[in-house]
Amino acid sequence: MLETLNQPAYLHFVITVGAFVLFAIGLIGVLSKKNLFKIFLSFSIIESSLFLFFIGNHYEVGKRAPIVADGVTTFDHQMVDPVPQAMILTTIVIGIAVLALGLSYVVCYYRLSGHTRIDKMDELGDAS
Amino acid sequence: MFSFAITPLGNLFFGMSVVVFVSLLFAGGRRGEWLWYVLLLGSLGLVFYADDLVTLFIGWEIMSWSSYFLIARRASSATLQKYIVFNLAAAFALLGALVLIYGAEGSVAYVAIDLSTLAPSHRIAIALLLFGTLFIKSGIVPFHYWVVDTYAQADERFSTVLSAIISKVGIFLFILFFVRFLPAELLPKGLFVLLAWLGVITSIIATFKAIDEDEPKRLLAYSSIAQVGYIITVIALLTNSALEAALYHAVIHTFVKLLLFVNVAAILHTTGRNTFSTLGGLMNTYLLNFLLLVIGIIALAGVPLLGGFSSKFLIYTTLLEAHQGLLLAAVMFSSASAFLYCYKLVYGIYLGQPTHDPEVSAPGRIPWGYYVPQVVGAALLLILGALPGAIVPYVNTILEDLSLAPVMDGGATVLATPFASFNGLVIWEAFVGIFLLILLGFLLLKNRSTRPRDRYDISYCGEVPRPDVNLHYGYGMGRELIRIGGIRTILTHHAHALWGRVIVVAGDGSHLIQRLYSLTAQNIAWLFVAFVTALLYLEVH
Amino acid sequence: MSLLLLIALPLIASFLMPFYRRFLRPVTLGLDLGLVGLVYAFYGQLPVQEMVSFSSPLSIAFRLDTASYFFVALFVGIRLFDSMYRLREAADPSYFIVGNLFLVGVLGLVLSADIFNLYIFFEIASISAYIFTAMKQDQQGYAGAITYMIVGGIASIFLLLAIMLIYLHLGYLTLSAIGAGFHTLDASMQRLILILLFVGFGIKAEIFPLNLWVADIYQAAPIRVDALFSSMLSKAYLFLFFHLVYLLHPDPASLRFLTVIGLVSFAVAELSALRSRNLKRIFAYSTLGQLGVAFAALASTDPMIIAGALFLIGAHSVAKVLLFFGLDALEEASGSVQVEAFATFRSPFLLTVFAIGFLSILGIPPLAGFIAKLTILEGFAATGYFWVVGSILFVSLIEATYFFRILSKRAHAEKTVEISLSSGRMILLGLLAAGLIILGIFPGEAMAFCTHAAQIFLSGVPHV
Repeated sequence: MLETLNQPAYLHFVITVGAFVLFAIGLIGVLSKKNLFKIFLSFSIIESSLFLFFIGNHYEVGKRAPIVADGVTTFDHQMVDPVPQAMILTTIVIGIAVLALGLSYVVCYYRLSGHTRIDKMDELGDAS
Repeated sequence: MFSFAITPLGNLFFGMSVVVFVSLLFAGGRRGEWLWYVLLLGSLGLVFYADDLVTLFIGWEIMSWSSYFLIARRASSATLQKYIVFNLAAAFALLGALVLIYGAEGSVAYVAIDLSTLAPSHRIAIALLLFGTLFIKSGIVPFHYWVVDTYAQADERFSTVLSAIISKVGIFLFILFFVRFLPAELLPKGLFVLLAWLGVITSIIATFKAIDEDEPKRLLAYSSIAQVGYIITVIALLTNSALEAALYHAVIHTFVKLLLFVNVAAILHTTGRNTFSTLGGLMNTYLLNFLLLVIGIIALAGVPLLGGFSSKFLIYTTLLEAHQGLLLAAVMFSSASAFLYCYKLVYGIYLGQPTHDPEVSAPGRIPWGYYVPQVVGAALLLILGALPGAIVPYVNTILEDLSLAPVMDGGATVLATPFASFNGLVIWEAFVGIFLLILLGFLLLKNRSTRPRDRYDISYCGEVPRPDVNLHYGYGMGRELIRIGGIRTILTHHAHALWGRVIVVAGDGSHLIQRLYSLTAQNIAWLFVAFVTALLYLEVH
Repeated sequence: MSLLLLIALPLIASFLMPFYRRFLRPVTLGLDLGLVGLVYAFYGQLPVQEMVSFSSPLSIAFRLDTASYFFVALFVGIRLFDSMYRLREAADPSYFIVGNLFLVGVLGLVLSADIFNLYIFFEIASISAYIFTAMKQDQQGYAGAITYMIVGGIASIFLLLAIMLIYLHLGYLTLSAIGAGFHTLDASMQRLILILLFVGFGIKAEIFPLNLWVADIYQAAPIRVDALFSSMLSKAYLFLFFHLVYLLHPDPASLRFLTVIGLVSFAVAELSALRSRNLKRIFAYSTLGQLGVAFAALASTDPMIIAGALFLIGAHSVAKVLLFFGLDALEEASGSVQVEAFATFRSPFLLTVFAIGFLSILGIPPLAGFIAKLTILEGFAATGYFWVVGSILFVSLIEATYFFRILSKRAHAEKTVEISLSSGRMILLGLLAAGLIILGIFPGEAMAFCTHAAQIFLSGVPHV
C-alpha cells in the first residue's frame, strides 16, 4: 500500500501538504511571536517550507541527483531537473546571509535598547 | 512652446498693470524686491498676451508664487498659508479646465478651441472649474477668506498691486473664456444667474464687513471685494453693454484703489498707526493727502463728478436694460451702504477730533514718492469724470476684437448707451459752480470766534469723559449696525468658522493615517496577510 | 562591450577594495565616471540583449532597451552625483562596498531578463538597503533595519513562491518566455501567481496599502541614503512592477484597479504628510505620493501618459535628491530634522534649492515637474479619465498645503542657524536645480526620449 505513495502525484501531494503546514507554522510565528529572534527563526522556517515544496515537487522516486561525476558525463532522464536544485542552493545561501544580518542587528539592537521585543520597538513614528 | 497674441483686451489690462507698477516705483520699497516685481509683471504679461492655454497657465502660476515671495517678508505664517493654498486651488481649477479643454480639442492654442461640439456636461464642468478660479481670485464669499488678511499684512505697495491688478485677473479670465470660447448660449442660463447673485451678495456682505473694520487697509480690502463683486454681477449678464460696463468699472476701480491704498499707506507710513481708533483729525496736517483721498472716495462711491460715476452709470443702465430689477436694487443697496465706509475712511483718518496721541498729531512729512501714484490715479479719475467718453473708442475696439457689436457711443465729453447718456463736462460745470458758491458762503459765514478745541472739551454735554475713553467716532462707527437683523448675521459670521472646520477635519484625517504609517513591523505583517487574504477572496468570487 | 560590465565593475571594485583603501575617493569617482561612460556608449545601440555563461535556463540574461536605459542612466547619474558630493569627506570603506552592492542591485533589477536573476538582484538590493538603513549604528537605525528586514522578508517569500510556481507550471524562467506562455496556465493559477507577484513587488514598489513601513525606514536611515532610496530603489521597483505588468498582458479591469490603487496611494500619503513635523518623514510621504501618481500613470497603457510618468520619475528623482541633500546640510548645521529647524536656518542659497525642489514636485511652472504633471493630466483627459484628473489636482492641493506650510513657517522666525556649504557642493546642488528649471523650460528633447521609451515600454520586451 505504501508503494502507491511512490507515485509522483501522491508524493507531491504529501510534500505539498507538509510544506504548507510548515509554512503555516512559520507564518504564525512571524505574526504572533514578540521576540525578534523567534520572528527571524520563523522566517527561516517559512523559507525551509518553500525549499521543501519546490525540491519535493521536482523529485520522483528512482531519479538521481543531477551531479556530473563518478563517470557520469552527461545529463540524462534519470536525473531530476537540475534547475530547482541550483535555485534552491542559491536561495539557501541568500537566506542564510539575510538571517545572519538580521540576527546581528537584533543583537546590536539589544545592546542599545536592552530588549528584543517587537512590540516595544517604538523609536520610529510621527510622534517621536 | 510659448505663443503670444497682442489683443486690445490684453493691452488694456497690461497697460493698467504697467501704469500701476511704474507709479508704485516711486512709493518707497526695499532693495531686492524689484526682482519679484519684474517676475510678477512678466507673468501678468504672459497671462494677458497668451495665445494658448498653457502659456496662460504658466503665467498664472508664476503670478501666484512670485506674489507669495513678495508677501512672505511681512505676513504671518497663517496668512501666507491661506494665500498660497487658496491661490493654488484657483490655479489647479484653471489647470483642470485647461486639461479638460485639451482632452476635448487635442490642442491648447486659442484659435483651435471650439467648444460648441462638446457634450453639455463637459461644458458645464469646464465652466464650474473656471467659476472656481474666478471665485477664489475675486474673493466671492466664502472664498474671500484669504483676501482680507493678505491685503492687510502685505506691504503697502503690494496690497495696491493685489487690489488694483491681481483682483482683476479673474475678470480677464472670465471675459476670455465666457466671451471667446464658451459663449453663454452653450451653457445653462442658470449658471450665470447664480453668478450674478453671488457677485451682488458678496458685495453686500463685503460692504458691511468694511463698515465694521477698524483698519483702513482691511476696510479697503473688503471694499475691493465689493467692487469686484459689482463687476461680476454685471458681467454675468454677458450682454455687450454688460461687458463694456465691466471693463469700464475695472479701469475705474484700478485707479481708485491705486489712489486709496497709496493714500492710506502714506498715512500709516508717516504716523506708524494702522487703526482708525488711533488716528483722527489729521486733515490740517496732511491737507494734500486729504484732498486726494476725497477724490478717491468720491470716485469709489460713484458720485457724479469723477470717473466712478460713469462706471456706476453703465452698471445701472446695463442692469435696467436687462430687466434685472432685483439685481439693480441689490446693487444700489450695496452702493448706497458703501457711502458709510467711504465716510469712515475720510472721517476716521482726517476728520473728527484729533487723538491725544502726540506722535500721531505731530506734523510729519509724507515722502513725495507717495504722491506720484496718487496723482496719477486722481488725474485719470478727474479726466474720466469730465470726459467720460474718452476711453469709449478703446473699449469699443476690445468688443470689436471679440467680434461683438459695441454699444457705447459719444464724443469725449458724452457717455452714451442706447438707454441713456450724460455729458460729463456739463455735470462738472454745474458741480464746480455749486461748489464754489458753497465755498464762498462758508468763507463768508464762517464763525471767526472758533478756537482749537481739545479732544475732551465736551464737558457741556453733562459728563466729563475719562482720558481712557476713546471718543473718536471712527472707533465705534458701524457698531450700531449690528442691531439690524440681516446685517447682524453678516457681521457675526466669519469665513473662519467654515474654513477652520475644514482644516480641523483634514488634520484629524491626517493624524489617523499617520498612525497607520507608525505601526510596528508585526502589525504591518498582519495587514499584509489580511490584504492578501482579501485579494484572494475577491479573486475567488 | 558587455552589459555585464555594468554589474561586474562595481562588484569587482568592491572585492579589490583592500588594495586601494587609501585612494578610495578617486577610485569611486573613476568607477562612476567609467559607468557613466559605459552607459553613454550604449546609447547608440539600443536595444541590447545578452546571455552570459550557461545556456538557458541556467543562463544570466540581460536586456537593455530604451525604457530600461532611462532608468539605468538615471541611477548611474544619481550615483555619480552622490560620489561627487562626498568627494571632500573622509572615505568610508563600508559605504563604498554597500554603495556598490546597492548600485548593482538596482541596475540588476532593471537589466535582468530572467525572473530568478531578478530574485537575486532583489535580494542584493534589499540586503544593501538593510545595511544602509542601519548605517548610523544607533538605536533608531537598528530598529528601522529590523522592521525593514521583516517587511522585506515577507516580500521575498511572496516573490520566491511566485517564482517557484511559475517554474513548476511553466518550466522556464526567462521573462519573455514567461510573458508568452503565461496564458497557457489555468486561470486560478494565473491569478494566484499574479497576486503573489503583486504583493511581492508591491511592497517594494511602495504602493498603498503595502507601503506602511516606508516612512519609518526613511526616518531611521541617514538622510543621504534616503535620497538614494527615493530616487533609485523605489524607482527600480516601479519600473520592474510595470515591466512585469505589461509582460503578462493584464486585462483592462486589473489595470484600472492599479490606477485606483496608485491614486489612493497618492491621496493617503499626502494626507498623512499634512500634520507631520519630521521633515524626513514628510519627504518620505511625498515620495510615496509621487510614486502613487507615477503608478497610476504607468497603469494607463497610453504612450503619452507613460511618457509623462517617466518624465515625472526623472524630475521627481532629481528634486528629491535636492531636497534630501539640502536637508542633510540643514541637519548637519542644526542637528534637527523637525519642521522648526527649517524655519530658523539662514542661507538664501539653500532656501532657493528647497523652494525649487518643492515647486518642481508640486508641478508648478516653469519647473520640470510641471511638464510631467501637465503631460499626465492631458493624457488622462484625452483618454476620458476625468476623475483621475480631478483627483490628482485635488490631492496636489493637499501636497501644496504641507509644502507651503513648511515654507511659511519661516515668516517672522528668528534665523539663527548658519549653514556653511562648501562651494563645490553648492555648485553640485545648483546644477541639479538649474537642471530642473532648464528641463521645465525646454522639455523637448527629454520628452521626446521619454515618449520613445514609453512606446518601447508598452510594446513588451524583445525576445531573448
